Amino acid sequence: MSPSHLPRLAVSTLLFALLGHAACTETASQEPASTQTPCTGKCDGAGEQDFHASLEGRDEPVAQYLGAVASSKGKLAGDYRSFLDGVGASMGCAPESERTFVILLSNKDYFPRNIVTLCSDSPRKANQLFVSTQSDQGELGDVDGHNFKVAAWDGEAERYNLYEISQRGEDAEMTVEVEPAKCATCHSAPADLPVAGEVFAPIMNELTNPWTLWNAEPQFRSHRFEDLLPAALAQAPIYNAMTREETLGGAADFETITRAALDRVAKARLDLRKEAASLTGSLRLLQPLFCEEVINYASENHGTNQIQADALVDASIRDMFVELDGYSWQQDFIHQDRHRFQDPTSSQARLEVIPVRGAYSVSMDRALVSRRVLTAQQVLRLRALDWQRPVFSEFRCNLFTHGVERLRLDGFESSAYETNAELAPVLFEEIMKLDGELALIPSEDASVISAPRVTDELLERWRTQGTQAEQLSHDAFATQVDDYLDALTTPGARARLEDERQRRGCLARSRFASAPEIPNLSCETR
Amino acid sequence: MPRSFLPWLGALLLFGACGPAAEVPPAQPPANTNASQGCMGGKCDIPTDDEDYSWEQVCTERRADVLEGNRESFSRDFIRWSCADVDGVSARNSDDRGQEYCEYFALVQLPDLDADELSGAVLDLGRINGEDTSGARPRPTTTPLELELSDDQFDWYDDHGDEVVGQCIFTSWHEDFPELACEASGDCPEVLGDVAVSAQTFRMQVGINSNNAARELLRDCIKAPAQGTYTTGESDATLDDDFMRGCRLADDLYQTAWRFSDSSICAAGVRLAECGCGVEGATDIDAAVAQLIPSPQEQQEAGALSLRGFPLGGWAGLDALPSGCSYIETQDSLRTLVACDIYAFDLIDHLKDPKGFCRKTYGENVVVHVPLPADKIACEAPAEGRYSQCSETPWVVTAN
Repeated sequence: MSPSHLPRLAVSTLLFALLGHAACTETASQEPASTQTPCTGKCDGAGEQDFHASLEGRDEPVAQYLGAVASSKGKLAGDYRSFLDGVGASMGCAPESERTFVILLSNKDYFPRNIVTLCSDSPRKANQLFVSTQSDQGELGDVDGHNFKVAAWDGEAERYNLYEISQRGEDAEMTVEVEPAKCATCHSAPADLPVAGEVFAPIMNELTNPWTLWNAEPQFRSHRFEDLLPAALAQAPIYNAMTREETLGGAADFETITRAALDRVAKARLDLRKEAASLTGSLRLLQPLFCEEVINYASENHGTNQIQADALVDASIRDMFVELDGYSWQQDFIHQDRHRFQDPTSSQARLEVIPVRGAYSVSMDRALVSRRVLTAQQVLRLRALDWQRPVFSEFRCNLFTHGVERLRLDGFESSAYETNAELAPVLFEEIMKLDGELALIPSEDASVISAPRVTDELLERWRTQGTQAEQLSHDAFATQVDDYLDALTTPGARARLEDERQRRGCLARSRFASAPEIPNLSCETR
Repeated sequence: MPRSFLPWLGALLLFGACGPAAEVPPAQPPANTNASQGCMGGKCDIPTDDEDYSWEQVCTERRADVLEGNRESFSRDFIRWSCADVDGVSARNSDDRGQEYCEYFALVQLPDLDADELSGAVLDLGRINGEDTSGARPRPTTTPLELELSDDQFDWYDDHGDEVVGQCIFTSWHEDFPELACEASGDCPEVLGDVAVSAQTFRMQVGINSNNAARELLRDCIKAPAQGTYTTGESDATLDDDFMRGCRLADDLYQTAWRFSDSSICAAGVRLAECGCGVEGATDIDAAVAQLIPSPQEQQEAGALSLRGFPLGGWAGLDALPSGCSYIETQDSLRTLVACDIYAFDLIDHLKDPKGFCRKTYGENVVVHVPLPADKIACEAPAEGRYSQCSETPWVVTAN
């Protein structure tokens, strides 16, 4: 099928499709487990087959521990404490290396979710196990010591295995469920992307300072956490036992551990490049460059007037400039991690919880370049398209979606290529064609097609007149970005960005089950 | 008040007793200081263009970072800031990173491909190793920033992504502090199993990161207001703020107000002066500064090393280093060397600038601690006048 048989690409088509496919809502994701989406998997964890058979082939400490102590029906005595002690012993982690990190989630009220790691002195060891608690729904809002979720890194399969351990009804023991379906809802990329099924763990939405709603103590003052922590928790025995001074971990350390965990997931995915060429394998490498599989959220750091720079401009643009020519660039944004506003006026709110491109995706961009699957120039040229929408660019994701559709309809033959590392750049160039015809590649070397915001009108002009008017040298593009950021330092800049925050926030809520509370969001008219 | 250890209080009280001060031009750098030492090459390492520079802007920004964020920069016992430089201080034109009494670089071990193990040469990347004086202004020079690998070396790292293949080194060992005792005997501890700790590699290299520079800064920031050569008029509301006064003075003295370290130390120094503080056993300001930041010679004369450099820790305190970091053994407890893990996966994604990876991943959370012996400091605020309201610990500068 030739490209002309497909509908022409428009900026807005995917948006409606995506909204229509929203899997679940923020509210559902943030409710305590007992009120979440009913389990559709092997919920009772018992009876249908031997529980131990479901652990076979798993190469991680939780499977080993459960294999030793759980019954053939997946029943487990004890509580979170005995579980942590048992798994910790099998991992060889000293008890004093246990850390509890806390984030506040919200349903009608705020409640804490504790996440426990072991061997926490080393981010790489710590990210082998995450234990995530639930609320007991009681008056104190305490942690339910018999209801928790577990993610364990399987070194052989190179993926996180997921478990839910819970006490049901009058059962004296806990029941273990392996790979519960509802976990995938929150820990997976949106199911409607061309390449579905990518699983991520753990989730740390607010990955960077000030880590809104995370407990940042003892290293840093928390952002909104102290203000919203339910007072009744002061009397909650399990919560207080888990967060005592010796074990309480700050968000800064959890950021480091989480980044190391995302690195694990990325590395496993990057190994695809060495495998035999296949359309699906190569597209799995490319998808995070175009579409949002995972996102993060940024906020101004208290009263500093600073926010991480990728809230405004994709971190990959800066990374690729450095990759191209080191630190020789004179434009400020290439040398700055943060953007600084002026003081807000009395009527202005600070910019809080704005969705940003996932750190995982940015890491994938960099990794694909360092592994020479793509060039820095290729990535920069992609990210220069719709660059004022660093996250949730419908244009870029549409480009990928349409491109994949074309490739599949055309029956693209991948057998001419040996590995995905060879095939992926070929597919990239195919996908970077508007309507399958107009290559979005500038005519000059060391240049990009810079389109701050792609509109249907602009696409129409490109179809009739080409992209020459938008072509800029690398240096001119960097200056254009710098000028844009310079204009966003004024007191009124936050107001200019609020509309973009609303846009991103509404898409985040509709696309990601794990989206956090985004303040003052109004999505009805969007 | 234990008057016996406040012999220089008189001068301070005189300053305090001046009442509302007439507007006096800011002091010139004291004659016995070397302003160029305060900034290696003047404004060369400023995180903004020279033509955009204004003390008010940089001090407003530093004040926001230091006082309006989520860090405890001033406490009863410490003045603190992170090893990561001010955002914008970069390797543009030349590598200006490492100007906060903390230098940092990456140590990376190459694989031995024949043996299929990590036992090859160790390279230092981005380590300051000298000064280029060929231009109009001297600039620090460094070992190469970029790690260049053969395809086979790259692939080896890629196959061993979970292995620690390097260390981010953070050092606060003052540039003018002597070698370790173990260097003479050749039995110093090793990093990455190959690099012995030594002054040549692990000590800070630029003069601005010296014990002497820190002493001069603190002394000048106390003396100028204490001796009345620096004061501020009440007409400038900006300078009603405790931090801004000190930051302004750092700018006047050394044109280095943009640094966390200089602005913070000077803010604390100004408050010590304004509030008539003295240090136990000190007979004058120089002696007080010597108590707070003893020189290498003074430490040797006292028979005990106490400050090789400002100790490093985490924001939760000394001994609370961030996850992935640990102290490098120096056969004492002075805590001036920290090593943080670099994994192969991270290394190959940051080959252009492993030092930048160190700054971004760990630098914000490795924290310089300037110790203040609060129990040995006593203050007597002026009876009246602008600075008559002082807390018991006036060096703890707050936003209010």
